[in-house]
Amino acid sequence: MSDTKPDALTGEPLSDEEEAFYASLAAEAESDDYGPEAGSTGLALEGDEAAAAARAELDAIIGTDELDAATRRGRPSLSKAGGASPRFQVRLAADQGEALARRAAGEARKPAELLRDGATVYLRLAADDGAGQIVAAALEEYAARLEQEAAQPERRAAAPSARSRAALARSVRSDLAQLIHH
Amino acid sequence: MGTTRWAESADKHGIDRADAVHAMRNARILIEAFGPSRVEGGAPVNLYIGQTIDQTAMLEVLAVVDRAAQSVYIFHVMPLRPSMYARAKAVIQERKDQ
Repeated sequence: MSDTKPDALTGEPLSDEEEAFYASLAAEAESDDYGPEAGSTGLALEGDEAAAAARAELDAIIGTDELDAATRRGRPSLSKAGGASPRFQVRLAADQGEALARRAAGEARKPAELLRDGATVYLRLAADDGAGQIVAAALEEYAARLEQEAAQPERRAAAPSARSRAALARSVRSDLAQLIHH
Repeated sequence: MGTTRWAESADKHGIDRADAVHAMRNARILIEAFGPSRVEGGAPVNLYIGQTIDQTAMLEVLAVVDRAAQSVYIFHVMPLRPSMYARAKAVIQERKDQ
């Protein structure tokens, strides 16, 4: 056995004898009359009880972290280079959560995809490479245009639209201020 | 901590090992000693029935959980057969009645 423990999806190799033994058991298992011997005893669980018992025993032997990593690897990596994708659990205000769910449904995307987009934009803005200033200038221009449109008489006639543009402009300016002073 | 031991027979049906592990840890049915150990004094075979990671299929997984050796031998993984499901349900009922 090597010093480094193999990951749970590779495991320790079997000897030729073990391979032959389990090949025979597997062939037996595929027959339609495979099942317990008469009088056999042991746990026979369903539902959450089954999952809890299985998880407790497997995790105790192999390790929770190893098994978590093994099942995470089943999903495609989000990184171009592959590998594990870090996970973050995020708490949101109720109205923010509802808005996110609404927006995601409207775009036929998953809320997690929108959050990833948000992280991408924020990290780009916050990067100290000038890109943030370019985006901030674009946002400033956008906010100014919204305010200008909201102030136009014909826009004011369409009250809901004008009010929403003014609110959006305030919201953009507020977000901008936070970004600049961060 | 122990290790997994994957027999070649576990890969026969082309099921991703990650899906097998997921099905075991999130088993909707767990039956210990579903099959005999075939080794005097050895650990018996456990049956796990659970879903794949993407929850699109149910799997049947057979493994020998050797607590003494801290090893889990996984030797049978395939899409759940109706006949296996029926046998599992019958065993659950039988053991409840014992």
